[in-house]
Amino acid sequence: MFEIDRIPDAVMRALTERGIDESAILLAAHADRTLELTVGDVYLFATSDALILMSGIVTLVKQEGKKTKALPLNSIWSEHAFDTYPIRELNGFRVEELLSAGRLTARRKLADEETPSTPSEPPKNGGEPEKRERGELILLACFTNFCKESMSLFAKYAKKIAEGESFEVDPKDDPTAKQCPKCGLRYPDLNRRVCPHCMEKGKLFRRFSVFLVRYRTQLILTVLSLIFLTAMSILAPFLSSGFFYDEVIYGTGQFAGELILVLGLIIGTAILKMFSTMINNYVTSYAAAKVGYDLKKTTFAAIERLSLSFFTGRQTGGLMTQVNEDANTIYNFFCNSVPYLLINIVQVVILVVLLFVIQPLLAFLSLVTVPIFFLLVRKLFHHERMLHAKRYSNSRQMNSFLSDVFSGMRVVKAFAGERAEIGRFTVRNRNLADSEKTLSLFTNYAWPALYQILHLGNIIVWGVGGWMVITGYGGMSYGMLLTYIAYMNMISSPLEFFASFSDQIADCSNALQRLFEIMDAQPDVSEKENPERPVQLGGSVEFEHVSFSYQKGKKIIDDVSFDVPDGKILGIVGHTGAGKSTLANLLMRLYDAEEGEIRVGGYPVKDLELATLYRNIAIVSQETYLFIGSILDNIRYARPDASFEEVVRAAKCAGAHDFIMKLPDAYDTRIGFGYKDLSGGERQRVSIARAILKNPKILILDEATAAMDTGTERRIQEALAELIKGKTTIMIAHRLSTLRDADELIVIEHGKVAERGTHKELLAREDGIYKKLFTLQAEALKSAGISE
Amino acid sequence: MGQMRFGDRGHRPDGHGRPPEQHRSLAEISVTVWLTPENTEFFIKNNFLYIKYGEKEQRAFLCRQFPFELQWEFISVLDEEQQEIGIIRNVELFEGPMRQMIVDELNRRYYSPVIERIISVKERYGFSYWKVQTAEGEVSFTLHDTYRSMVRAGETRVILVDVNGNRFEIPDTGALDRKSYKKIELYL
Repeated sequence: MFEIDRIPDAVMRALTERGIDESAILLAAHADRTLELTVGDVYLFATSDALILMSGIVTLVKQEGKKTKALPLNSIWSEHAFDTYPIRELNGFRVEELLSAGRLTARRKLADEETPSTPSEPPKNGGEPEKRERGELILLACFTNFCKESMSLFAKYAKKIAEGESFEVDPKDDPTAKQCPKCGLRYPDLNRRVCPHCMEKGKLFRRFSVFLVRYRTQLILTVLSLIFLTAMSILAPFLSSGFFYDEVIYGTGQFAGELILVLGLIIGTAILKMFSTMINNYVTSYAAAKVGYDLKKTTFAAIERLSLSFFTGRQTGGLMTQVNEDANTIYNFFCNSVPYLLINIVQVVILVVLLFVIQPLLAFLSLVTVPIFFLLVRKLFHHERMLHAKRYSNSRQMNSFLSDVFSGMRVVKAFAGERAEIGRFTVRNRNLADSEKTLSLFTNYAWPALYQILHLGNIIVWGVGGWMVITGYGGMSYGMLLTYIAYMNMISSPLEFFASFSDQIADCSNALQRLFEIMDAQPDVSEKENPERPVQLGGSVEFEHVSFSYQKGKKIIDDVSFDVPDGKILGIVGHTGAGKSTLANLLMRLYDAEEGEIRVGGYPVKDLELATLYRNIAIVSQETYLFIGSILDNIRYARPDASFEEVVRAAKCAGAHDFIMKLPDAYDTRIGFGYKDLSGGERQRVSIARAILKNPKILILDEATAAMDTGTERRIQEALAELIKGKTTIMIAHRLSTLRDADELIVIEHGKVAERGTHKELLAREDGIYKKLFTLQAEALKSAGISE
Repeated sequence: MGQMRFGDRGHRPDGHGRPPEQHRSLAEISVTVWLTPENTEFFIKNNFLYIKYGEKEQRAFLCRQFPFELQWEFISVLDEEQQEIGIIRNVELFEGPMRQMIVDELNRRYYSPVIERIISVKERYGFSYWKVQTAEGEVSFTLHDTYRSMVRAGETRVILVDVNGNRFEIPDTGALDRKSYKKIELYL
């Protein structure tokens, strides 16, 4: 049995009571809503000849006397309905998605549909490439998106059972891969296999400390200098208070009257303290910069190696934060907080011991306020953090508003929207000002008030200590009291630090988690071991029964086959979203095909070394991206070792040379974000020059001229004609006129090859999609006064 | 399979799966067909909503055009190919069982349990783990990038979209109890 979801024992028992043997069940899954979309448990089973639906409610009861979480709970099943369908009479299992919920549906086969049906007539208009399932539609189950994955799997395998196929479970579909191996709970996010219950912070920090071993010298120096610093800080009050008064001024011992000596000692400790501070600061700054630099490098390198799908699923902003801020958080924690924590612990312990040594009763009395102080500090910290977060979020909103409006200024002006924008700005500005006010009021009131509480301890010390000095209780002297008070004051700052430390741990573990997640992520597209590295790669391209989907269950490319002989031109036509660009992505191996095989020069792309593949394929797409840098750098991006001569030749071929020479700095003109803005056509020609310089075997033109006006398009077409000479070319186009030179054309519709042939052949087809599109476009051009 | 997904625009990186616009010219698309009790009939067959408009009987899929502003007005009726058959200006134009069918179908499509109380919110590693009380009982779910997963659908209405695409709704953040409100205050 393929148990997609765990089926409770009680349900299995109920099933057996119905006379259905457990061994007969091939497939089982759970849906969490009734057909009316109310809460309920529906269990779906498939045997080789029946589909069984049991609906009711499962109640879980804790087993008596057993406390561990891992033990299964006793389940009680109260059944509301029991339905069966002869599974062989069903087909077309599918999941219909609503927004939050979904439905599992199937169709009853018609009498004449016994055999896996062949469409009774060839697809008309090419508009309905799928066969129509015409039988009666049945609603099998409703569920929320929590069960979507299970239901899709159920539909997938139920289909196989209904068609009488034997099936093997695809390891990718194995539900245990989606559970935390430790506690058995499903991961809240399947793309991120992190179990919030079993996350171990300790493990994260241990793993990171391996990275820190490289900086042990710096860290040891930091700790040593801090220890020295603490020793000096503790020594200083003793010298200037206790020792000074009791021994030098009022004392009768060997130090009596030795004013110069004690002054020397005081100055000496001050100088030592200064030096240790300097050493500490030097080491910390040095280590922090070094660790920060290395961390950012590691993160960036880890990100760069991942496949494109990783980037499409994330926001660029998030990744930027990851590289910058997370690195800062981590090194701050390890290079500042941790050493500081160690020292603070040592300092507090020493201080408390000293306080008790000087006067136990006084120490006890004065430290009463410490726990209260500590608790209050923690509370205040949390509140302050929240206020900070609020301020941050308001300032983020303000910033995004500003960048939005300034970049959209043309539109604002065109629609006379200045007034409205000023209004919108005012709201955000006020929010920001309000949150800043709250924050600063809080920090200015709450903290001073808090210190008064700690000060209360000091008052006790003054009072009780003064009384002790006067009465001579326990041998208390004036100097001792002064030292005592100085130590008392030194205790507050470590306490404050401790209060904030748990938040720092949380921040750092978040950052570490994200870092390791990236480091551990496996690129979807990876080279196989010992990939093929042919010196000369042929230019032929073959797609054989290729299928692909970005999202599970939503096939973008569905069983596509075609081949382009070396040096020929293939045109790909289709509507927006038909899957044309995806074909290019697959050929470039930005994604891997799920089924089927793609071959370049006779080699399957999965067997080729990625560098070899990329060296031989170039893409010119509608979206051109030019990096910040000179035009020269951008053209050379394809081949950094290209000579100046080659760059100019490529630019000339691309028709870019002339406009580049009109720029004051010619090829050295800085372009990209924040610099000289090239027009769309100019950018396109620079990117064509880039492709020419690469001189690939295979060229993909993905709507390369789609956004151009006719004049520019013509010029770029000429440049492209130069570029594609002798190369295998795949031209993807919306505008059919650009495909006139293609040796063969394929029409893609709903991810399938709907038509295939030369321009002439396709036009000859009555009711063909290509013919229809061509006529439409020709008419549109005619009415616009342009004839092709 | 799985083409019945409307309304979640903007999630796909490349705009794949956009409804096909072929077969219809701009002139055809820009004409609005208003569906009224006079020209339209809704009925239920096997738990599914069907529409009879003109001569054709087919399955009907309903979609709010302004889901945040208008719950029962401007309802698009789409066919299986996600082509618009027409628009219901206001559900109230229909009466009796037919109106009920439309309301039921909309409730199904925009199914989102109402959060009555927030039991806990734990933010961890860029995800937040929620435990809430809804009319249907206690539910736990996970949001990725909490701030962006909480869609403001009006002054006080918030819709939460979890990692699986489940939707939960807080109809009025001001009506939440103080403890619950404090837990989400930061994200609003």
